[in-house]
Amino acid sequence: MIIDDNLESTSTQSNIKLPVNLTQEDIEKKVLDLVRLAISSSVTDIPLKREEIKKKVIKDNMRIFPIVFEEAQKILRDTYCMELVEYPARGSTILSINQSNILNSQQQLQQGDAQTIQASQTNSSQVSLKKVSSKKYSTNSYILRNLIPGNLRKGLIFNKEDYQLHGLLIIILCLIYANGNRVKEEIIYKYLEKFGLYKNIKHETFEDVEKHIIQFTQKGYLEKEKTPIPNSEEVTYSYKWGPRALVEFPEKNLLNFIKGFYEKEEQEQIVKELIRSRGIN
Amino acid sequence: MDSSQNRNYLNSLFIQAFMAKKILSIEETKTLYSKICDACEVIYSDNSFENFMKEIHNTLIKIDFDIKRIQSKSDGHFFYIWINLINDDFTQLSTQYTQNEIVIFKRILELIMENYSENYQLSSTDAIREISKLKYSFTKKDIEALLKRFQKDRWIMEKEGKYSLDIRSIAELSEYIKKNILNEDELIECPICLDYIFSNVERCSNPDCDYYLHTYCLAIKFGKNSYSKRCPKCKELWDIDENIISGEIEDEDNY
Repeated sequence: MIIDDNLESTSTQSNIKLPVNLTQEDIEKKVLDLVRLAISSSVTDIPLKREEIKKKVIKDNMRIFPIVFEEAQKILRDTYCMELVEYPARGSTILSINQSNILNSQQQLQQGDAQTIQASQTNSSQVSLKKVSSKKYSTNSYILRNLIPGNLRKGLIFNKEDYQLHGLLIIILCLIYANGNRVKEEIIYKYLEKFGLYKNIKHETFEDVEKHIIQFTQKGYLEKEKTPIPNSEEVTYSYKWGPRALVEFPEKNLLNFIKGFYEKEEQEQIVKELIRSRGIN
Repeated sequence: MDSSQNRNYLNSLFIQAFMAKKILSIEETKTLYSKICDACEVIYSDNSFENFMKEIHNTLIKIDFDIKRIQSKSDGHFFYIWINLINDDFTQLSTQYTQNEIVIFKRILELIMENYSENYQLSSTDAIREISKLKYSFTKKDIEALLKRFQKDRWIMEKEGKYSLDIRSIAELSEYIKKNILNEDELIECPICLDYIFSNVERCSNPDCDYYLHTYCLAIKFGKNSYSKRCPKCKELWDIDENIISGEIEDEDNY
């Protein structure tokens, strides 16, 4: 019902002329195809490429891409509480991504009924979408961001192993964050030793820690960076936040998490220092 | 946010949570639903569950997915299973498997279904040998680990060293099997439930008779209240494994 209503209301509002050989029905079908593709991509964890949308959904006429994309976004937001966001390019920083996130969360905090919230989300992500697409280096791919508040999702979505891995990932992201978003590989492992995780020793829960770090990197949660050592053939590796982490882990939540490790009176100071150190990069 | 807003997340939260799990028993599905009701501050009731599942179904079929209720043909238990309704893009199954792993699965599926004479079962040694022939750089250990994952995700099951299709394959791939693997004259219909038989195959104990049905359907037919233990086709006494009929029988009227 909701889907149909939306399609109708927008089809009358839409000012863009459809190419003559395409009917409103064709468009609606493509919209649903894109929703289907997006939902599938959320299962596989692989970013959805614009090229793939073209090949599987749009097919002939890329001029209709913006209409189809926005209509699909509406359904994704209203029915599935998810939205497509552009996958950040390698080397994006927490700072640059956060500007659009902060915009988002401020608007989410506004009082009002659900409709206003939905609408404001729509606006803000359109803003961020425009911002990203006008940037020079576009990845031309998208991932889904969940719009359901974390406190509602708690205990419902993951199984136990996922939770444990999620915990490990958050610890690593916090370590990187607190060190100005770049940490040498060996330093990460040194930190992890404090949690009882050793590089070549089988851990009770996680078994091979290195394997998980490789997977986090493959999935785009971490980004591995090569730095040559001057006057030498050797290189060092460091880790940064990966593009997926930038989308999925709002800075505000992370700060709250780190804050929890400190005494009440220290918390404000810690958050200030963290934000300052993040700013360096 | 007040509770009237949380309520708006009910359906999407359920869909997201179910997508992460892909298969849940009826009881687990109800538990999930009641937890989500709690989180969204909606009052839970058993009656609302059925309607709720219908609503979810109506939402998902628009994008050719579904959450279907399926009965296991081995013990009669009911499950809800996330299903992709478009079978043609088998190779793009929305799963966490890689392309190579999906090709391997497809091969396993073919091998199992070609083993008509073995009641749609494939020995694990044959499975590993055939997969090795695909020339991927999978070691025997890798293959075993992959087969374990297929089992954990309920695509195949293993019993006494033999693989057969598990409930998720039955739920999602029956159409694919009918269209792409078996010929029409190879399909066997179960005379009890009228579904095709792709797993949990029982054959009349008389070697000259070709009467087939599902394990669970056999348990129903020759269960405690049955007055005859004879095969409906050859009329011989059917030598039934007592374990099959002594198992818990799910009461169909329960749901």
